[in-house]
Amino acid sequence: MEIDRQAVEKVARLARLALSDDDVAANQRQLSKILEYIDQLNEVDTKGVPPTAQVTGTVNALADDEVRNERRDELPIDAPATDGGSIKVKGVFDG
Amino acid sequence: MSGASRYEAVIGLEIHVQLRTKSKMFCRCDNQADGAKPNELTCPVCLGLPGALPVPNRTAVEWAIKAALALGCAIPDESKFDRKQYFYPDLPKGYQISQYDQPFGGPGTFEFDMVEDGKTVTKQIGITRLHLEEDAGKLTHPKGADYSLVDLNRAGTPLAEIVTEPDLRSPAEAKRFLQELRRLMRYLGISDADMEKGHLRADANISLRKPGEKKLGTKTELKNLNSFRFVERGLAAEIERQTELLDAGKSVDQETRGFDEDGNRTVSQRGKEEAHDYRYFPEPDIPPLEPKALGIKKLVKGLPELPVEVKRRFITEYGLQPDQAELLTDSLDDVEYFEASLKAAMSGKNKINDRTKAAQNISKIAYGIGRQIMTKKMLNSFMELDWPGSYPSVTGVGARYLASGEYTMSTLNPVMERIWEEDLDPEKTLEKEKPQKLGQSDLDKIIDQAIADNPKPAADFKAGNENAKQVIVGAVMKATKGAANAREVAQLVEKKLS
Repeated sequence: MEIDRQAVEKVARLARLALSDDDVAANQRQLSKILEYIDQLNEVDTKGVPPTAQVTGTVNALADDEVRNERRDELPIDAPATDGGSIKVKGVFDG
Repeated sequence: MSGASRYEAVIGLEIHVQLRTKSKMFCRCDNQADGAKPNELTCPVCLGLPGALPVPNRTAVEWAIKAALALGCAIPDESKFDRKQYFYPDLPKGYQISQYDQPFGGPGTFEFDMVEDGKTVTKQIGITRLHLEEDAGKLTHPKGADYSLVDLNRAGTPLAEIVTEPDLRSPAEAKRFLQELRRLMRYLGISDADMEKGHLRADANISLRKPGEKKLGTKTELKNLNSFRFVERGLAAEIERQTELLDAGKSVDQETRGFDEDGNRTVSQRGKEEAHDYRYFPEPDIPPLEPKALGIKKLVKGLPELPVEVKRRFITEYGLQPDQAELLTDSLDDVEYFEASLKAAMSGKNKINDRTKAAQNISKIAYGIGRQIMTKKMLNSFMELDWPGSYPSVTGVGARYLASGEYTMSTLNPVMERIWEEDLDPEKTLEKEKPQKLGQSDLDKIIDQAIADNPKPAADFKAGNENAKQVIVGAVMKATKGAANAREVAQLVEKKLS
């Protein structure tokens, strides 16, 4: 399946990625290749097979409502910058 | 200029209700973020770290179904979670786990009563759906800084999202709907539903059309109406704006707007429009759900009497006025308190036989003295808003002594206050502190004295100043410590002076 330029630009915009013209061209090529590869699945006859997103056959896998995680002193992630426990990010302003 | 007559407003609401579970929606982090340090209540699941496995909270799922049942929603045989993708710093995974095409609650109806033009009107508002999802984190923007701060304590808090049909017709009706919905959530015990704390957040869709027109006009979406007042004012401002546009022959753009409180107007948030492509797909990490296997019968049985029904019952069974019933049914605790008080008032040696009379007296005490003392106590100790177990019997006994005529509200007030504050036996204390029954001759004497003490008001009254008698009535009430009937005293004073 061929991915056009607009599709790449749209996905980049949704993912908040700034792509150069070269990046767009490269991604267009690569994404098309990936989708072509996935297209192989279309060769399988799926007549009569209901669509599913699940393979385990499990239903209602729920956990009881109890607090089991302790309060943590430090974030378990490498945030580039923090301030008083909060993660610092580039300014975003709600309209 | 009001547009109300030229156009009909068509309003639908989307409400997020924060559920008060102990732990979060998909992990077992503490869900009570009040007072916690930033990011203290986080784990690999709610931080969206690779390889973490979200497991839905059983209580949150049960509560969502409970809420759906209370809203008259059909419960589907199958349900599932989906991923809703968007990128924002408060959403660490890059997607929110939500529900797309198989919500927990299908179409339903929410019914409530409101007073319009002095008449009680029943409203039936269609519920499109109810689904469960997780909240995002909290962003703060320090003043003057070029950065924002992310706190993910709230990320993963369970939210029930309720979407209504465009069945609301005015800002007042929308506000009322929200108030009634809040009451329902509290009755169900699934949310504190405090709007100021963001437990209840509303967005509104609104369009105008000519009366009688079936087709809907172009709508705008009004975001973040975070108090009852904002809901009413924001919608009113938007109706005004759309009315002006339509009057000028212009069209309304479909867009997201926010309410600017200071300017009392709505403002376009066009910048937020572009990313409405959420690319939902089924959440592969969470197996599907079969709500009916979760004990629906038990959930149905566990449903409380709904607020609208309780209120109607209070009006028809107890003869209360709508506004009294409204106050007395504010929470399930209040309902229990009232009914236990009523029982206490209608038993015992000086029991009240007339239920309406008993109900009226309890209403007076509960929302006169009772509330006042409760407020004082709460301020002192920050205790929870529960009526202590002894309160209903105290109120009931008070109602009995009020009904027997041995006390008036003003003589009862200080004694009740002492009973509550010092935890005294209500029956013994009220018996002992009974005010002297005023004989007619005693009252005559007191009135004569009051007239003698206030020669000027007495002369003024004789000269035709009606209001001047109030000074004398006040003096009599003071002298009798409230034991006299003010209206009766006023009549006697008038008689003596004319």
